[in-house]
Amino acid sequence: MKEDPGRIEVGVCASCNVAHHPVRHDCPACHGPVTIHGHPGNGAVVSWTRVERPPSGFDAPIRAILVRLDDLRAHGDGVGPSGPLALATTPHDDLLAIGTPVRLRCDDAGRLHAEPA
Amino acid sequence: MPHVLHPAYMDAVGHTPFGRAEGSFLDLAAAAYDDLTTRHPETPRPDHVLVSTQDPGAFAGIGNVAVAVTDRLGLCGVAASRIEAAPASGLAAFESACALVQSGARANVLILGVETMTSLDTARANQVLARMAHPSERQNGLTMAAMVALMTRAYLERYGHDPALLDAVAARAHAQGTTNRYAQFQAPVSLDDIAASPMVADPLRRHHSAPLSDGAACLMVTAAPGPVLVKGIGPATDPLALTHRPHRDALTHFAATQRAAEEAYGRARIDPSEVDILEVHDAFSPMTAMHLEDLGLFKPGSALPAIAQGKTTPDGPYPTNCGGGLKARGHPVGATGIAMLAELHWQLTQDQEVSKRQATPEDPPRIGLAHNMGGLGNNVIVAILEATS
Repeated sequence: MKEDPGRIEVGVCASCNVAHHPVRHDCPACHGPVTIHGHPGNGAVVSWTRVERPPSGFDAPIRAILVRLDDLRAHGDGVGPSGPLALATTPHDDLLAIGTPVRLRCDDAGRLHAEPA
Repeated sequence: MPHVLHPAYMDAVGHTPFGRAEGSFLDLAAAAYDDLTTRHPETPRPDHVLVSTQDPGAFAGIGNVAVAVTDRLGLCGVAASRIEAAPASGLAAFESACALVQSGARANVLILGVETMTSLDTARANQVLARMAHPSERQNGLTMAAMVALMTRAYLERYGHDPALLDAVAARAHAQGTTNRYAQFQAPVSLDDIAASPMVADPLRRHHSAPLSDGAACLMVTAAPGPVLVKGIGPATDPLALTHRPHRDALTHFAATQRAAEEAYGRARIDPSEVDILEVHDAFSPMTAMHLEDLGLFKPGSALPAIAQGKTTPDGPYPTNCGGGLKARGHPVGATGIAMLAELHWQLTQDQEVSKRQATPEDPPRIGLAHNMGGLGNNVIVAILEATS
């Protein structure tokens, strides 16, 4: 069992410091080595959709949001975007607006779920 | 940039109707090749066959597909293989065919794109297509339409555009479909019908999306001089997951298109302003605008209203998708790139086939550009062609 259920993990590049989600083996910006960091899950909606025609095995609607997570770096060096992007779903229609602050939690399958911040 | 040893030419095309086919996967492949040999009876026997198809195993239950096709075409004995790059398979096969000819290894390469998708119901077919997506997208039930919807909303927000402009782009594609006897949709579709079509993934409606289609198209790439010269090809890839793309504009533009275009223009030694006619990968209507911007023909954010104003009609300054594009012609994924090249071949040679949609007939196009995209913009190939006469 995880120490902090629901904690999000992001990858941070040891070379260029750019963070990403979900964690992968190499940095998507420079292919440098990646270290794993916890993230509180706070960020803001940068885009959203309501899927009314989902594929087999999913119920409509699926409310999907793209979130720009807050910057983890104590001293931003200007390299890359300000925080990693993350993809989440939510049961809340009122989160479907660009700029809305949200908090993401991770389930056991690695899916991200958004709640009001 | 490595040099091309020998020029390659595009010659002799074949095309089946796109839509819901009566025949099988192999019937369609044979019909496309029959059309090629009927149009061009002097065509030499190919010395290599490349089959472009995305997922014949899932869609049609076919394996060992390169030999199955080559055998059906009566061409057994020559080299045969399958090229797959998701819906960019067509131009990926074209690039490989050109490399075979440009290196001197082969003289006549047949590339044949074929897909049958309508035997599965829509939900099941979309599930097969969703295999293109990253697991983090798939596990949330997000289809290609859903991912494109996320980019579209960011694009509309960034440039302050009215979502109704998407309806105008779709209507424009259908207007061109009326001129194409091979198109899946040959009747015009009104703005009202598009605006009233069911929402698939907000802001994308059913009529903003290319259909599921059956179809095949083929062409010959030759070492002997032909009517259309391959001037330059540029390929580029990007991370599978949208959230992994490190580019500043990753939510509103496709960096792989920008890089593929840069290489293609460099190899062709031309500037974007020299392109006379385009075929771009409009799997979803907003992509038409994104692609025209990423290819350097329009400033970021300016293409969507320009399309609505008619700038991309065959008699406009940027003739684009004159045969209806993926939206109206149909989108049998493995055949789409070859169909784009066939359209450009006809346009650059003023073939009778495109007499109802010939671009700028008073000053026929000399330079054509095809843009083919796999996945959500993560595998892109751009080809630049030139009429030789």
